[in-house]
Amino acid sequence: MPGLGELWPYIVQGLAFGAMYAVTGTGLVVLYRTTGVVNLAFGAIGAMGAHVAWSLLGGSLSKPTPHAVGWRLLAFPALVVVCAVLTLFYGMWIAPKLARRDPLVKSLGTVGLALFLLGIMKERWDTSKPRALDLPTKRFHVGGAVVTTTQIAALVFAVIVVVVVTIFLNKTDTGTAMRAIANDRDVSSLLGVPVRRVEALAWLGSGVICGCVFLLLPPLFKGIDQGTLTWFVIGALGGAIVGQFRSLPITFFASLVIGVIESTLTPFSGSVQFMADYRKTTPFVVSVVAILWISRKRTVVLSGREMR
Amino acid sequence: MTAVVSTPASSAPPAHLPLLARITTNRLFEPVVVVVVLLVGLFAIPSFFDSYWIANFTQLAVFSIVCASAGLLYGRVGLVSLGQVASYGIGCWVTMRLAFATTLPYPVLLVIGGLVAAVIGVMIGLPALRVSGLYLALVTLMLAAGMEIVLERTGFPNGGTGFKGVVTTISDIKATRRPSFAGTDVAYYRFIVVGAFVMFMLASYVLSRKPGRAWASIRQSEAAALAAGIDVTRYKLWAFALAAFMAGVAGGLYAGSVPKGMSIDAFNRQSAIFLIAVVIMGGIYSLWGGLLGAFFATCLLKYLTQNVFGHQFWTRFALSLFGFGLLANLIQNTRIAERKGVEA
Amino acid sequence: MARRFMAAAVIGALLLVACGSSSKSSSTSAATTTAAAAATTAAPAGTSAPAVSSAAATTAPAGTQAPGTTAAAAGDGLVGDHPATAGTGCGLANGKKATGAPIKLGNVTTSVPGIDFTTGPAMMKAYFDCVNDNGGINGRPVQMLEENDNLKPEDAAAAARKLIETDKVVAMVGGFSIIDCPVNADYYKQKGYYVIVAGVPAECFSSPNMAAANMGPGYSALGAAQIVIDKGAKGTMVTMTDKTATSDYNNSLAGLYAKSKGLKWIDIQIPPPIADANAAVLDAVSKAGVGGAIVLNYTPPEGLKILKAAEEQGLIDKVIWGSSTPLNDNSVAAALGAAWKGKLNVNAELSLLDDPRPEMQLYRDVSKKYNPSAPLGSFQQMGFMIGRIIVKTLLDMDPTKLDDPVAVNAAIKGIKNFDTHIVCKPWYFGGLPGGNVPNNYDNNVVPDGTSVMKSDKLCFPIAEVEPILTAVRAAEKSQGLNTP
Repeated sequence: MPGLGELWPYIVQGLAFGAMYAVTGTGLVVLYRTTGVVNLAFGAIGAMGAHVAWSLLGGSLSKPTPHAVGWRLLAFPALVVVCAVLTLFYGMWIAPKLARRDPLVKSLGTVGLALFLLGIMKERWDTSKPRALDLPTKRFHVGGAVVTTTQIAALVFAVIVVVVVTIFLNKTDTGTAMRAIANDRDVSSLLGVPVRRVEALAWLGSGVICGCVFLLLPPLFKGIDQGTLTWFVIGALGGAIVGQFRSLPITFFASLVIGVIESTLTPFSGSVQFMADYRKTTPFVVSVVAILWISRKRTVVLSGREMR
Repeated sequence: MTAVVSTPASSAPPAHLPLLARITTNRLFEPVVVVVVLLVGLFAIPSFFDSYWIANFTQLAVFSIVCASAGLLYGRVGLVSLGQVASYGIGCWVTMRLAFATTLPYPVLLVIGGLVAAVIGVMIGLPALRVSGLYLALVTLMLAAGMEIVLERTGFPNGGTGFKGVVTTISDIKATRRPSFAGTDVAYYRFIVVGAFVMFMLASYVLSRKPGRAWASIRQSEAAALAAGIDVTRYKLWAFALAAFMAGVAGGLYAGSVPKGMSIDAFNRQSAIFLIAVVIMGGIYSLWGGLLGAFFATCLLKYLTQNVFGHQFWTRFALSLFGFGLLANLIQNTRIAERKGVEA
Repeated sequence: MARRFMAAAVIGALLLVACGSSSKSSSTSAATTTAAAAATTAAPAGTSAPAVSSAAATTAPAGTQAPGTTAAAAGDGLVGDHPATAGTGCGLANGKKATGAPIKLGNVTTSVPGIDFTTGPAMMKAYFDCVNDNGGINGRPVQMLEENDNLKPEDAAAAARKLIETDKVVAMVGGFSIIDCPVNADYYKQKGYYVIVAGVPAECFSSPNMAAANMGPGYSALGAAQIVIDKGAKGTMVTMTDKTATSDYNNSLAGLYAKSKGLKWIDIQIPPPIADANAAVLDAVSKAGVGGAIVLNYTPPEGLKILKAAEEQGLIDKVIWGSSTPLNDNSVAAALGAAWKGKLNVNAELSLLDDPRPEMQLYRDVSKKYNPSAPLGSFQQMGFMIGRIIVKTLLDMDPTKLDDPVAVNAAIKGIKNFDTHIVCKPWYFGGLPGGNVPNNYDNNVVPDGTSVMKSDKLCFPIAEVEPILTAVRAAEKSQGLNTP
């Protein structure tokens, strides 16, 4: 068993990834609460945005070609815009066609979107070449571990998102409308809540969050990898499941814990080597255990828009 | 698919229907089609296709069982499990391990592999009893992803000793043995077709008996089923066990069809998601959907790869094809349901 | 019923979409060139690092990359300025178009997202096209049939059977596959095929009826281990590779070498793709300890993650870094930049891309004319080299026996002393009972801090740490397999 001092650098890594899990989880929860869709295409949309941004950068890793200079500045905003537009497009045009189905079918629809986008990415950006999307970054030492500005940005961003979204949902009219729709779409509609507009806002918001997450993820992953980015959402579901797709603070903390455990198990060797080997199962083990714990007395129903 | 929905095959066809409809609704229609498909599978395909296509039809037969098992859970019981590839992988692993460790006949290995998968399937099913539809899908997706990592770490048995049964000395690596009576590719293909037939018959039999009726009522409304005195817990576990058993047997059949060096690809999280797309494209309300979905995923894809645009395009774009198909199917089903004025 | 129509409509619609997106592709039976070209153009402009394409334009670069093999050539049987066995042009080089029944050659190649080896066979096909424009095989064209194994054993087996039994290819050459060797070695043997591959797993080097143009991850990592230990690595050598079914082999030879030199060896295998490069590299460096060594055995995308993480964590100077062949790629050098100048030792199985010798010049010319969308690279070099070998072999055969697999495979088995400027020593098939490793001398390259991999050490022998290579070297001597 490694000592705490030895584990500290891994905890730093884990906090950064955990923060990304947390923001992703928040994006998923807010959208689910408003529209009843668990957006499994979250990662695919983000990966698509990252690839578009990479192309705008001129495509040659960290050293873009000179002719691309004019586009370079646009690349990072473009990533967010692509994510927002794709998410909004799906939310406004495709999701309503499934709006009357149960959450399961609605979420399966996003699986279709994820596969569709993944196929396009594989076709357009062949995976045999390395790709990276680095943010300008500085690094410094904190207690023997290297900390980068990107990692700090990830953590700060996560805190801001969780706080702002919580305040938004509780204090603003639109937030109240979102919570109302989450409770009962039809009644809210009768009461004069502009359902379509509020839903569109939720899709747009989750798209922007998605864009910001995938701005920070490639530097943390050290590359753009379609598969890793696309299925990142599965790991991030862990925190949301623990928070039962309801509580943002629980989602936040659970995500951080998952991230830290996953990373901190890396240096385990010798008789506890298996913990390092199977560390990637952390989000899955944590969420399954959480489900068992939560459901020990009652049936767990995703509250809100359950139709049957 | 909608044509198959809740059309009781046993009722006599009304006389005023057109000829085609009268044929298709005849109670003998389906058995006759089954026999024809079986005969074509057993005899026509091996004599008309070369070894390359036999290999593809072999995969079709194996995959159709997995598709049917996932379709059965979703379409007949209303449970979406994204963890069927985990059962598939477990069945495959167990059969391979036992094939090296014992001299038991292959069909016995298949049953054991299926049973182990079924036991684990029930263990997966236990928490599932307490979670709702979407949660179940997410949790089973988590389990599939976890199982991928476990299989990746343990590797697949290749003739070694110990629990994992993995050797690294090249000369010691062996392929999984096949049944003595089905050593050649064509014979093994026929063996798989028979295996798939047995699995489909098993599913069809169970569906026509008490569990099938119980499942139908659970799917309609769990509360109503409970009120009608149906032991919901027991029958849900039954469904998980049956589906996992089918997938496990399919995994065992798959083991023998792979020459050497089983890869994780068939059992990873992407396959888990791909599977549900394929199943929904094929249709979930009839077992035939399993066959159709598997056809899309194996032979049709191979045909496109071989004959349209070349390898590169389809191996990459295939995912988009199935993603689009999944979405289109969901939307189309919703439209039909809304036109009929019922909740889908 | 509606569902069936629906499905048909979906497929139809997608076909339309597909037509739109790759209108250049046409459907041909051996659709490799078009497919590969489509794949390359599909990637956004600028995928290939600018340095690579500029190297293509330069014929003889200024002094830096002297064909140092000349220096090492003395009496060691290394290829120096000997003329290439396959001559100076494509095949007969007579400018006449080949006609008549094609001579069919097959290969099984891996192409899945993440592992796409089709660039190798595509270059071989480009050479065949050049040969077919220049008299072919005594007037007959060469046709390449390629099958994708999709990284699935069952597909690999089906592909080999299709090529040999249905398509009736006379030889299996130029397969770039991860699984062809283990899956099909026995089948090829049973059918009497002697197969020239560019292989990855151990079976490509331990099967009597297979010979590779490359040396694979095992020997390549061994070469890297030799260099890092030569450069003073002490204590522990950590090797890293993807965790796959065949991954235990990848670093095993390097490990044997480290142990023979008194170092501790730790092999880290991470299931691909690497998601937490920072944690992985922290772990690896702490296991190697200060002054130790880390040898990577990765493709460029994965390897770069580790190296960039090491840079971010300030770990570059803690250990001595080495890598197997795949990172010998100018785009890797460009991505690494100044921080890594001279600090990553990459084993290079083949000649440098701007080597001025005639056969490498021919490679660049053929690539430019017949495979214009592909960048220069080691896979392409291997494909070109295998193309050169098989065409020369067919040209030297009795023209009446070109459709007889038995005669063709006997000729392949008999290839020896094939001088090529692409590898250090003359190439041969061997057919040795313990396996063939015809490419067993390597170069070492390091990133130059800008965007090029520059030569560091030329043509050194791979160490004999296991019986196969020892037997190979003995047989080379006793049978005169590679004395130019």
